Amino acid sequence: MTDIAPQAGARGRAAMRGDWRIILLMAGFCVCYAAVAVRMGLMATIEPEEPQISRDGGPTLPIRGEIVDRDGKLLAGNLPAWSLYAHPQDIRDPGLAADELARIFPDMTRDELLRDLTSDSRFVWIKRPVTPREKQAVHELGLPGLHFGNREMRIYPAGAAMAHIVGGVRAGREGVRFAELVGAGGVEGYFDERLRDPELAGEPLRLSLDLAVQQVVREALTRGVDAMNAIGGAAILMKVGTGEVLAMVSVPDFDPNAPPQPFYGDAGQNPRFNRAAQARYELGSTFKVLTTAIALETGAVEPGTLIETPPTLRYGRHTIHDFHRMPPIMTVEEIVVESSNVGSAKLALMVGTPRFKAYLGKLGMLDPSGIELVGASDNDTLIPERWTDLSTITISFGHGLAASPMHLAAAFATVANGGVRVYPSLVAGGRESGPRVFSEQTSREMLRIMRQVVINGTASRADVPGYRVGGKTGTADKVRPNGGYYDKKVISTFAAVFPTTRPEFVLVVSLDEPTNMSAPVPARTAGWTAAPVTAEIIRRAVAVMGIRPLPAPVPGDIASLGASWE
Amino acid sequence: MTRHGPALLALSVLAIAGWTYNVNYDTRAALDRISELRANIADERETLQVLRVEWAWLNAPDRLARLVVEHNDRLALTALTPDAFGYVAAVPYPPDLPAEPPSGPPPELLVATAPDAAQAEGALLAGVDEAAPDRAAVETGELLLAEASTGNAVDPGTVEATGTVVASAADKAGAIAGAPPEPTTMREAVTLALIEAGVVQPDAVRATVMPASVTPGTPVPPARPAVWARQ
Repeated sequence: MTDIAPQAGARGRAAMRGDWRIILLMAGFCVCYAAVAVRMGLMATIEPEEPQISRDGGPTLPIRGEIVDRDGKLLAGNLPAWSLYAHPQDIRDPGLAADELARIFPDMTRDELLRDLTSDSRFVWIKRPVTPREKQAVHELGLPGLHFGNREMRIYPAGAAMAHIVGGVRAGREGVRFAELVGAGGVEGYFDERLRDPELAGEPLRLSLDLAVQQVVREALTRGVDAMNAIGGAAILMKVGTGEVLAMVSVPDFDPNAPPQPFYGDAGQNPRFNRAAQARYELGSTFKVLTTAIALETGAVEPGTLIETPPTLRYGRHTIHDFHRMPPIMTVEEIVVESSNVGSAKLALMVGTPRFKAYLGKLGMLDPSGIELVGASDNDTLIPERWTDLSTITISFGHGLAASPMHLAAAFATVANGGVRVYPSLVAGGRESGPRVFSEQTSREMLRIMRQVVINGTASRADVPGYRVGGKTGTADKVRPNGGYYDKKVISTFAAVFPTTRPEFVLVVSLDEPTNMSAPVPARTAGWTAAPVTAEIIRRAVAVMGIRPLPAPVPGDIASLGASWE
Repeated sequence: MTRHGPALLALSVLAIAGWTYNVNYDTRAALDRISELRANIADERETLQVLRVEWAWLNAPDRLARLVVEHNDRLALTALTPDAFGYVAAVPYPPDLPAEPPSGPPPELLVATAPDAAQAEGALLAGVDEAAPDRAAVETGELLLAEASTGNAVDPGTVEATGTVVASAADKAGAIAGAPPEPTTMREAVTLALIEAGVVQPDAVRATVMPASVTPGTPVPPARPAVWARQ
């Protein structure tokens, strides 16, 4: 450009005139650059509508929603894990690889590893999921042909305490870098769609259970099952008003984090079998509370009505008799307190079969309980095919209809809830109470009678001072698979409501084949087996829940006239 | 000026080109940084998730129960039962204090001179023996404040009666046998408890913290209950 200056005088003007193309070209470039500069300036200063920078992917959503208890403690969560696969064609020394892998993964045998590593396919899964520690160990081997893929695994931090509740997951479709987790069992199975929904994946599923109460109930129930030499047991603690289940325990239980073990034995003894919600037992004399409530509701009797209770009652070819000698005439209240089969049979006959069956339907005894667990949500009760008067008689004292402890808990909650139907639920908030089944007066009278059962009747060992425990015992012979009953094997149940003056909780405890050896005579009845276990569970659960014992009522208090609650 | 026009134009084109180049590569570097940061954020979120699961795992009820059993010697936790509930209104008030504080400690509590240390010891033990009948009640772990009102006048300044105090039987046995005098401040009580638990070596602290009651001529406040409830 330096040579342009001297020519700026004469030649310059001519050159300018002559090189107008160059000027034009330079002007053109300037315009282009100006346009670019202006555009860049605009872009830098004006807020764009959809900027690339703020298109953040958001928090990495978990592949499967979490499950928490009512206080927010984690019950089911996700952990990043790895899956190990191999390209058999790249493996140099399958024998060495199989040896090393068998050492790292003790649950796989060398032979099956060798078979995998020498197979003809170009891709073979070795193990999934693999924990980070195992991954590091395999990585350090430095063997070619072994690769890792990402996946997420499901982990249950609460362990065996929540085993039956959470259930488990199994793998659905899987590729190298992902694996679909499909719920199988328990809450994982029931809410599978909701847990896999990406929109709700960030929000954990809140259950009504309380992990602390669950653990305490489990400890007390396990101790009780051991003390009574039982083979298993179940306990359900439920809030009366909303039907929220605070604790549901079934022992024996399993570790949900361990891979499922095959079980060879009677299906009823499988640790994965949920005795609280899946089992269908004949619940025995606990049904007398329901029979009496129905009889009071129909107005046929009052709590003080006298009923003749002969030692045996003949109906056609069948004979009903009581467990031990009863007075020849008893009040309705005494029928429940002393647990007379003849008495409740008469009450049921007074109600009549159609009304009796209708009321049991209203109490939920003919339908599944609806609890949100796979395997229990559609668990029908076992009812006679032809419901005759004889069926009514036997069902009135709890034989002839097999239901789960969850059904019993819901029915007792209905009785205690002022007569309004309670639906059990595992989800925080519970379910809305349903239609009215009994009147308030019937409910109050039944609560008073249930309290008398514990004060004066068969369940005196269930009393916990200050908590006004009421309820009903039930001892039912176990049914033989081929028909008939076992001689010395019982299911002993105690259904408790406390405090009976203002019911808040229902606790149903059921023991399988218990025997109380520390009784004067080895005893199997619920008053000696289920009742003391219930007392222990109540004692520990109320302490954890922070429920203070109630003071004794003032003597001469109007509210307690004619009844003693303490 | 215009004769430098093309030169300036060319220079400005070069300058703009250079600036464009820089901005372009700066933008790319910024975008790379952004994706790097995003990857870091995702890693951190994953770490958070893992930590949450690990926290829940460490709080697993079975694990906590096992730890309680393993460390029973230090924790001594028992299962919570309804007996643990109480009412503040049920805690008794401390016994009535004397209307007029005494002019000084009673003579039998004064350590007169060093050679009379044995005599002072005897005086201490005598004072202790006088209250022996009441110790029977204390042996069973009942409220200890009743003891403070028997016999020895209590200097209100040294007694801080707060709520329920229970002394274990072991403490009392030590006092009767003529063991080192009871601690007179909270600090001394805590140190004594630590020594007895084996956490702290007694020799290291005896000089500094143990009550200086062996100095002749100083008044010895009466034995105070250890403000420490132990199983």
